[in-house]
Amino acid sequence: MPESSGQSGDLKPAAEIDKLIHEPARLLIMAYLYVVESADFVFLVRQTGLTWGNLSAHLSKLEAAGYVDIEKEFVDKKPHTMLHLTEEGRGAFQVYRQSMKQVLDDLPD
Amino acid sequence: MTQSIDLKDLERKVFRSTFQDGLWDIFLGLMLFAMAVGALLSDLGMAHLSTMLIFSGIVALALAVIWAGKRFIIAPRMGLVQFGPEGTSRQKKTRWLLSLSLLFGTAIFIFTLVARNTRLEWLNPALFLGGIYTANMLIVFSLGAYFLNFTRLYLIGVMYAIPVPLDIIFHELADIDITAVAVGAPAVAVLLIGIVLFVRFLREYPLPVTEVYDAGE
Repeated sequence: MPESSGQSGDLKPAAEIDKLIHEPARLLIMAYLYVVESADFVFLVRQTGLTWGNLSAHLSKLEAAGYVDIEKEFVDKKPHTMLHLTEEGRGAFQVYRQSMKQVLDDLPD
Repeated sequence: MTQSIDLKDLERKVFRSTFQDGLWDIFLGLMLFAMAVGALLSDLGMAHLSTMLIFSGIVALALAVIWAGKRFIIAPRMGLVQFGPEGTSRQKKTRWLLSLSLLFGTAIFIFTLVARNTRLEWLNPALFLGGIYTANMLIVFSLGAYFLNFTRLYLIGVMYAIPVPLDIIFHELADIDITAVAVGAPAVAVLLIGIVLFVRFLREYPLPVTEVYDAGE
Protein backbone atom coordinates (compact mmCIF):
# COMPACT_ATOMS: atom_id res chain seq x y z
CA MET A 1 0.00 0.00 0.00
CA PRO A 2 2.66 2.54 0.90
CA GLU A 3 4.32 1.71 -2.42
CA SER A 4 1.19 2.55 -4.41
CA SER A 5 0.68 5.83 -2.55
CA GLY A 6 4.32 6.67 -3.32
CA GLN A 7 3.74 5.97 -7.00
CA SER A 8 0.71 8.21 -7.19
CA GLY A 9 2.80 10.92 -5.53
CA ASP A 10 5.51 10.51 -8.22
CA LEU A 11 2.93 10.67 -10.99
CA LYS A 12 1.45 13.92 -9.73
CA PRO A 13 3.53 16.14 -12.04
CA ALA A 14 2.45 14.00 -15.01
CA ALA A 15 -1.18 14.45 -14.07
CA GLU A 16 -0.68 18.20 -13.89
CA ILE A 17 0.67 18.52 -17.42
CA ASP A 18 -1.36 20.95 -19.48
CA LYS A 19 -3.00 18.71 -22.06
CA LEU A 20 -3.91 21.64 -24.26
CA ILE A 21 -0.21 22.44 -24.76
CA HIS A 22 0.86 18.80 -24.77
CA GLU A 23 -0.67 18.10 -28.20
CA PRO A 24 2.36 18.10 -30.61
CA ALA A 25 1.07 20.69 -33.10
CA ARG A 26 -0.03 23.09 -30.36
CA LEU A 27 3.24 22.55 -28.52
CA LEU A 28 5.10 23.57 -31.66
CA ILE A 29 2.91 26.66 -32.11
CA MET A 30 3.43 27.66 -28.47
CA ALA A 31 7.20 27.08 -28.76
CA TYR A 32 7.49 29.28 -31.84
CA LEU A 33 5.42 32.05 -30.28
CA TYR A 34 7.44 31.71 -27.06
CA VAL A 35 10.77 32.49 -28.77
CA VAL A 36 9.48 35.54 -30.65
CA GLU A 37 7.64 38.68 -29.64
CA SER A 38 4.92 38.15 -32.24
CA ALA A 39 4.46 36.55 -35.64
CA ASP A 40 1.82 36.52 -38.31
CA PHE A 41 -0.23 33.60 -39.58
CA VAL A 42 1.84 33.08 -42.74
CA PHE A 43 5.07 32.94 -40.73
CA LEU A 44 3.68 30.25 -38.43
CA VAL A 45 2.42 28.20 -41.39
CA ARG A 46 5.89 28.32 -42.96
CA GLN A 47 7.80 27.54 -39.78
CA THR A 48 5.59 24.82 -38.32
CA GLY A 49 4.77 23.07 -41.59
CA LEU A 50 1.11 22.82 -40.53
CA THR A 51 -1.66 23.34 -43.05
CA TRP A 52 -3.67 26.56 -42.95
CA GLY A 53 -6.78 24.77 -41.67
CA ASN A 54 -4.88 22.79 -39.08
CA LEU A 55 -3.08 25.83 -37.73
CA SER A 56 -6.33 27.78 -37.69
CA ALA A 57 -8.08 25.08 -35.66
CA HIS A 58 -5.28 24.81 -33.12
CA LEU A 59 -5.05 28.58 -32.75
CA SER A 60 -8.77 28.72 -32.03
CA LYS A 61 -8.27 26.37 -29.09
CA LEU A 62 -5.26 28.28 -27.79
CA GLU A 63 -7.14 31.56 -28.14
CA ALA A 64 -10.16 30.15 -26.30
CA ALA A 65 -7.86 29.11 -23.44
CA GLY A 66 -6.48 32.65 -23.30
CA TYR A 67 -2.96 31.54 -24.28
CA VAL A 68 -2.74 33.32 -27.61
CA ASP A 69 -3.81 36.82 -28.52
CA ILE A 70 -4.97 37.31 -32.09
CA GLU A 71 -4.94 40.76 -33.64
CA LYS A 72 -6.68 41.16 -36.96
CA GLU A 73 -5.98 44.11 -39.18
CA PHE A 74 -6.04 45.12 -42.80
CA VAL A 75 -2.77 45.84 -44.60
CA ASP A 76 -3.17 47.21 -48.13
CA LYS A 77 -6.84 46.15 -47.97
CA LYS A 78 -5.82 42.54 -47.27
CA PRO A 79 -6.57 40.70 -44.03
CA HIS A 80 -3.55 40.24 -41.83
CA THR A 81 -3.38 38.38 -38.53
CA MET A 82 -0.70 38.93 -35.89
CA LEU A 83 -0.35 36.43 -33.09
CA HIS A 84 1.42 36.57 -29.78
CA LEU A 85 1.42 34.70 -26.51
CA THR A 86 -0.50 36.32 -23.68
CA GLU A 87 1.08 36.60 -20.24
CA GLU A 88 -1.08 33.64 -19.25
CA GLY A 89 0.11 31.66 -22.27
CA ARG A 90 3.76 32.44 -21.56
CA GLY A 91 3.31 31.40 -17.93
CA ALA A 92 1.47 28.22 -18.91
CA PHE A 93 4.25 27.29 -21.32
CA GLN A 94 6.90 27.80 -18.62
CA VAL A 95 4.92 25.66 -16.18
CA TYR A 96 4.51 23.02 -18.89
CA ARG A 97 8.30 22.96 -19.49
CA GLN A 98 9.00 22.59 -15.78
CA SER A 99 6.43 19.83 -15.39
CA MET A 100 7.77 17.91 -18.37
CA LYS A 101 11.35 18.23 -17.13
CA GLN A 102 10.32 16.97 -13.71
CA VAL A 103 8.36 14.05 -15.12
CA LEU A 104 11.22 13.00 -17.41
CA ASP A 105 13.87 13.53 -14.72
CA ASP A 106 11.91 11.38 -12.30
CA LEU A 107 11.82 8.44 -14.70
CA PRO A 108 14.22 5.63 -13.76
CA ASP A 109 17.19 4.99 -16.11
CA MET B 1 6.18 17.08 -37.60
CA THR B 2 9.20 15.21 -36.39
CA GLN B 3 11.43 18.07 -35.21
CA SER B 4 12.60 18.10 -31.62
CA ILE B 5 11.98 21.27 -29.63
CA ASP B 6 15.08 22.97 -28.30
CA LEU B 7 13.99 26.54 -27.59
CA LYS B 8 17.41 28.11 -28.12
CA ASP B 9 17.82 26.21 -31.35
CA LEU B 10 14.30 27.16 -32.41
CA GLU B 11 15.02 30.83 -31.72
CA ARG B 12 18.20 30.61 -33.82
CA LYS B 13 16.31 28.82 -36.59
CA VAL B 14 13.66 31.56 -36.65
CA PHE B 15 16.34 34.24 -36.70
CA ARG B 16 18.32 32.48 -39.45
CA SER B 17 15.21 32.21 -41.61
CA THR B 18 15.55 35.97 -42.18
CA PHE B 19 18.72 35.37 -44.20
CA GLN B 20 17.71 32.38 -46.29
CA ASP B 21 16.03 34.31 -49.10
CA GLY B 22 19.29 35.54 -50.66
CA LEU B 23 18.31 39.23 -50.61
CA TRP B 24 21.10 40.23 -48.22
CA ASP B 25 23.60 38.44 -50.47
CA ILE B 26 22.24 40.30 -53.50
CA PHE B 27 22.43 43.58 -51.57
CA LEU B 28 26.04 43.00 -50.47
CA GLY B 29 26.96 41.77 -53.95
CA LEU B 30 25.52 44.92 -55.51
CA MET B 31 27.45 47.12 -53.06
CA LEU B 32 30.68 45.39 -54.06
CA PHE B 33 29.65 45.61 -57.71
CA ALA B 34 29.18 49.38 -57.29
CA MET B 35 32.79 49.61 -56.11
CA ALA B 36 33.95 47.55 -59.09
CA VAL B 37 32.07 49.77 -61.55
CA GLY B 38 33.45 52.86 -59.81
CA ALA B 39 37.01 51.51 -60.15
CA LEU B 40 36.45 50.54 -63.80
CA LEU B 41 35.03 53.93 -64.78
CA SER B 42 37.84 55.68 -62.94
CA ASP B 43 40.40 53.53 -64.79
CA LEU B 44 38.72 54.39 -68.08
CA GLY B 45 39.20 58.04 -67.26
CA MET B 46 35.59 59.05 -66.70
CA ALA B 47 35.00 62.33 -64.87
CA HIS B 48 34.92 62.01 -61.09
CA LEU B 49 31.38 63.42 -60.80
CA SER B 50 29.95 61.03 -63.40
CA THR B 51 31.68 58.09 -61.71
CA MET B 52 30.24 59.10 -58.35
CA LEU B 53 26.77 59.47 -59.87
CA ILE B 54 26.87 55.99 -61.39
CA PHE B 55 28.32 54.56 -58.16
CA SER B 56 25.54 56.23 -56.14
CA GLY B 57 22.95 54.92 -58.62
CA ILE B 58 24.04 51.31 -58.05
CA VAL B 59 24.11 51.82 -54.27
CA ALA B 60 20.58 53.26 -54.49
CA LEU B 61 19.54 50.22 -56.56
CA ALA B 62 20.97 47.89 -53.89
CA LEU B 63 19.04 49.71 -51.17
CA ALA B 64 15.85 49.61 -53.26
CA VAL B 65 16.29 45.88 -53.89
CA ILE B 66 16.64 45.02 -50.19
CA TRP B 67 13.79 47.31 -49.09
CA ALA B 68 11.28 46.48 -51.82
CA GLY B 69 12.27 42.82 -51.94
CA LYS B 70 11.71 42.30 -48.23
CA ARG B 71 8.50 44.35 -48.26
CA PHE B 72 6.79 43.11 -51.43
CA ILE B 73 8.31 39.69 -52.18
CA ILE B 74 9.61 38.09 -48.99
CA ALA B 75 7.07 39.23 -46.38
CA PRO B 76 3.95 37.99 -48.27
CA ARG B 77 5.62 34.60 -48.81
CA MET B 78 7.44 34.12 -45.53
CA GLY B 79 5.26 36.13 -43.16
CA LEU B 80 6.25 38.69 -40.58
CA VAL B 81 7.93 38.19 -37.25
CA GLN B 82 9.03 40.45 -34.43
CA PHE B 83 11.89 38.97 -32.49
CA GLY B 84 12.05 38.58 -28.75
CA PRO B 85 14.74 40.08 -26.48
CA GLU B 86 17.50 37.75 -27.72
CA GLY B 87 16.91 38.50 -31.40
CA THR B 88 16.61 42.23 -30.75
CA SER B 89 19.86 42.16 -28.78
CA ARG B 90 21.63 40.46 -31.70
CA GLN B 91 20.36 43.12 -34.10
CA LYS B 92 21.51 45.88 -31.73
CA LYS B 93 24.99 44.33 -31.40
CA THR B 94 25.31 44.13 -35.18
CA ARG B 95 24.18 47.74 -35.63
CA TRP B 96 26.79 48.88 -33.07
CA LEU B 97 29.42 46.82 -34.79
CA LEU B 98 28.67 48.27 -38.22
CA SER B 99 28.60 51.83 -36.83
CA LEU B 100 31.96 51.31 -35.09
CA SER B 101 33.42 49.79 -38.26
CA LEU B 102 32.24 52.77 -40.30
CA LEU B 103 33.69 55.24 -37.78
CA PHE B 104 36.96 53.30 -37.62
CA GLY B 105 37.18 53.12 -41.42
CA THR B 106 36.52 56.85 -41.76
CA ALA B 107 39.11 57.69 -39.08
CA ILE B 108 41.74 55.55 -40.80
CA PHE B 109 40.90 57.08 -44.18
CA ILE B 110 41.26 60.62 -42.79
CA PHE B 111 44.51 59.64 -41.03
CA THR B 112 45.89 58.28 -44.31
CA LEU B 113 44.99 61.49 -46.15
CA VAL B 114 46.67 63.55 -43.42
CA ALA B 115 49.71 61.27 -43.49
CA ARG B 116 49.93 61.63 -47.27
CA ASN B 117 49.74 65.42 -47.08
CA THR B 118 52.32 65.65 -44.28
CA ARG B 119 54.57 63.23 -46.21
CA LEU B 120 55.25 60.72 -43.49
CA GLU B 121 57.95 58.69 -45.16
CA TRP B 122 57.61 55.66 -42.94
CA LEU B 123 54.05 55.18 -44.14
CA ASN B 124 53.06 53.61 -47.45
CA PRO B 125 49.44 54.83 -47.72
CA ALA B 126 48.38 52.08 -50.13
CA LEU B 127 49.75 49.28 -47.96
CA PHE B 128 48.55 50.89 -44.74
CA LEU B 129 45.04 51.58 -45.97
CA GLY B 130 44.88 48.18 -47.67
CA GLY B 131 45.93 46.33 -44.54
CA ILE B 132 43.52 48.19 -42.32
CA TYR B 133 40.67 47.77 -44.84
CA THR B 134 41.26 44.01 -45.10
CA ALA B 135 41.47 43.52 -41.34
CA ASN B 136 38.38 45.69 -40.82
CA MET B 137 36.33 43.71 -43.35
CA LEU B 138 37.36 40.33 -41.96
CA ILE B 139 36.71 41.32 -38.34
CA VAL B 140 33.39 43.09 -38.97
CA PHE B 141 31.90 40.43 -41.23
CA SER B 142 33.06 37.61 -38.96
CA LEU B 143 31.57 39.25 -35.88
CA GLY B 144 28.39 39.99 -37.83
CA ALA B 145 28.19 36.35 -38.94
CA TYR B 146 28.72 35.23 -35.35
CA PHE B 147 26.13 37.55 -33.79
CA LEU B 148 23.53 37.02 -36.50
CA ASN B 149 24.09 33.29 -36.92
CA PHE B 150 24.47 34.04 -40.62
CA THR B 151 27.24 31.62 -41.70
CA ARG B 152 27.49 32.83 -45.32
CA LEU B 153 28.58 36.21 -43.98
CA TYR B 154 32.04 34.70 -43.23
CA LEU B 155 32.41 33.92 -46.94
CA ILE B 156 31.05 37.33 -47.96
CA GLY B 157 33.56 38.90 -45.55
CA VAL B 158 36.40 37.13 -47.37
CA MET B 159 34.97 38.32 -50.71
CA TYR B 160 34.94 41.89 -49.38
CA ALA B 161 38.44 41.57 -47.91
CA ILE B 162 40.42 40.05 -50.81
CA PRO B 163 40.11 42.71 -53.57
CA VAL B 164 42.36 45.31 -51.92
CA PRO B 165 45.35 43.06 -51.05
CA LEU B 166 44.99 41.37 -54.46
CA ASP B 167 45.04 44.75 -56.17
CA ILE B 168 48.04 45.94 -54.13
CA ILE B 169 50.00 42.73 -54.78
CA PHE B 170 49.45 42.95 -58.55
CA HIS B 171 50.20 46.68 -58.55
CA GLU B 172 53.38 46.43 -56.45
CA LEU B 173 54.80 43.25 -57.98
CA ALA B 174 53.76 43.40 -61.62
CA ASP B 175 52.65 47.00 -62.01
CA ILE B 176 49.31 45.78 -63.32
CA ASP B 177 46.14 47.65 -62.33
CA ILE B 178 43.39 45.07 -61.86
CA THR B 179 41.19 46.94 -59.35
CA ALA B 180 37.97 46.50 -61.34
CA VAL B 181 38.55 42.76 -61.82
CA ALA B 182 39.74 42.23 -58.23
CA VAL B 183 36.55 43.82 -56.91
CA GLY B 184 34.25 42.72 -59.74
CA ALA B 185 34.94 38.97 -59.56
CA PRO B 186 34.00 38.60 -55.85
CA ALA B 187 31.03 40.92 -56.46
CA VAL B 188 29.71 38.65 -59.21
CA ALA B 189 30.32 35.57 -57.04
CA VAL B 190 28.32 37.05 -54.12
CA LEU B 191 25.59 38.23 -56.51
CA LEU B 192 25.31 34.75 -58.06
CA ILE B 193 25.03 33.11 -54.62
CA GLY B 194 22.26 35.58 -53.77
CA ILE B 195 20.38 35.05 -57.03
CA VAL B 196 20.51 31.24 -56.70
CA LEU B 197 19.21 31.45 -53.12
CA PHE B 198 16.53 33.94 -54.13
CA VAL B 199 15.26 31.74 -56.98
CA ARG B 200 15.29 28.71 -54.68
CA PHE B 201 13.34 30.71 -52.08
CA LEU B 202 10.71 31.74 -54.67
CA ARG B 203 10.25 28.10 -55.72
CA GLU B 204 10.09 26.84 -52.18
CA TYR B 205 7.72 29.51 -50.92
CA PRO B 206 5.06 30.40 -53.50
CA LEU B 207 2.72 33.26 -52.76
CA PRO B 208 -0.17 32.03 -50.57
CA VAL B 209 -3.54 32.50 -52.27
CA THR B 210 -5.06 34.41 -49.40
CA GLU B 211 -5.07 34.51 -45.66
CA VAL B 212 -7.72 32.06 -44.52
CA TYR B 213 -7.52 32.33 -40.78
CA ASP B 214 -11.00 32.73 -39.38
CA ALA B 215 -10.87 31.64 -35.74
CA GLY B 216 -13.52 33.19 -33.61
CA GLU B 217 -15.81 34.08 -36.51
